[in-house]
Amino acid sequence: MYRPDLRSPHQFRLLEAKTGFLPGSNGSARIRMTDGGECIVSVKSKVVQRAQESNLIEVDVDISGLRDDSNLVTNIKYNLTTLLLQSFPFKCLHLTSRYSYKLYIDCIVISHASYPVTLVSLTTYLALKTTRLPLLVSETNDQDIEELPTFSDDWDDSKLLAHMSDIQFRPPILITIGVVGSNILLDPSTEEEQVLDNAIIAGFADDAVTTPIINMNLAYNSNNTQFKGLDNKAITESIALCNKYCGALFKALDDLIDQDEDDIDGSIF
Amino acid sequence: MSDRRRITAPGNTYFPRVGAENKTSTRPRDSNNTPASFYLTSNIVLNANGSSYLEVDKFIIQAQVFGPRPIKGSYMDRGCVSVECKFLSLIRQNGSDSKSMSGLEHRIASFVETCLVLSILLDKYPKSTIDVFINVLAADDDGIDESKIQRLTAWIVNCTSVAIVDSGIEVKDIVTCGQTLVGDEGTLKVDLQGRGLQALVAIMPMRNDEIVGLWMDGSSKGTTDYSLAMASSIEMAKTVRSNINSYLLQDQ
Repeated sequence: MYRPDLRSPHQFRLLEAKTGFLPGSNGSARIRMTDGGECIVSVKSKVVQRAQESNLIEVDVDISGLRDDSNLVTNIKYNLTTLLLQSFPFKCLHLTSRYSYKLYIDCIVISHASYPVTLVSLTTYLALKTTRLPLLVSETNDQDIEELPTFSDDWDDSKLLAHMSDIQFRPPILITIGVVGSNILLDPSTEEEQVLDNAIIAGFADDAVTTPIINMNLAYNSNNTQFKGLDNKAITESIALCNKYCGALFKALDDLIDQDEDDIDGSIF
Repeated sequence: MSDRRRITAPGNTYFPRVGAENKTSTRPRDSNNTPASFYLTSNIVLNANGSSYLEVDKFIIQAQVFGPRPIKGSYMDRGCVSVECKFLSLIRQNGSDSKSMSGLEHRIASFVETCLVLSILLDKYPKSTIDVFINVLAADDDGIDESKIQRLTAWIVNCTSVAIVDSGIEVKDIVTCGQTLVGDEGTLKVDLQGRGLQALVAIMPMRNDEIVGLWMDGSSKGTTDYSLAMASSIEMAKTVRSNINSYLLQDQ
């Protein structure tokens, strides 16, 4: 099988990323794709009492040119929220026995050519990995004596969210998988999406495919003549392909963050 | 002497039992491997081209199909399908403002649309639209959340398929849907809601079990869970299909 841009079945498209450029946010990232897709994600935090909050993460997605109640926007928001609520390491957000950080993740898709769920998810990963939170200076045990958490005034003391706990911090991501006949493609391009038999969106966390796993039509119009059903084998092979190769994606993104930190010039252009 | 300021009812009135406890009990299921008993009927909305009504446990679902209806504008060589799902405002759900469709309603509508687009022979209906409206009339007392949505969606797909048949729209096969819960201890429970891995699979049984809808959510322990849960959901979809077949044959 040859893909139009000569990628291997498991190969993702090239992307350009920049992190930590929004001064008013705790974390931010931008990804630009070669097909013109662009997404900016901002992560902001707030100190909350855990007992009073149902979720410690709130996600909002905005796609340029689409209404907030459109199917595309609500589906991406639903899938991203479900993924993060199921697989995010919430222990990192705990401040004291009563208080936690709550994260507000705002995603803006400025332009997109292909289905933007992976673009939004990868940008969210980068923004979360580069999120900095102020250093807690008060006691962490407030079980007996209730005390409001206080923080260091010096932003240089701030800690990366990734370093807030001993466990390895890897936010989950969403992968787009295309199925054409017996072929499985990771990260299909716009042209590939128009001829796919079917597509699967799968979560990936802790080096394995995780939920949500859903199928959908990625073509521009809902009456895509190519759209066909899936068989069990295609689903199993898609999960196996993701399990085999998507771990490398985390390494590539982490390397990208390291390179970006060496190249801080305050500009995103 | 009666109070003349009040508008009193005639003498032969009776008090409606609003809010009174419903004494009818559902028969317990034989095992975790069989779907719940359900009540299904069709052709209940006269001005719709097709409609159906389904009751299963505490869920009450109604589906209406309007179409194929002509559309204005440029020529399209295939029909298009639109699906709208709405919970009645008395059903509580997470993050809904009841003005627009909530995230859950959108997700259900989009899943049903994916299933229907694959089953309806859209080439037969050029420049037409088929509009499907799904109303969830009742659900559990504590509302709808992520742990129940898969099971509800499975029955919504089954109900909608019958409404499509009732409308006379040509289909490749009737889509039926099955749902399985994989509990934390790894046990498979068919047609049950709860915490754990939820697998929802919609198939066309007469077309070699072609999978038209797949939705897995909740916590999972590995790839084996996915395969087992899918296989179990497909079995449920087949059982539901044979029930729908017998209903449609009786209905003729």
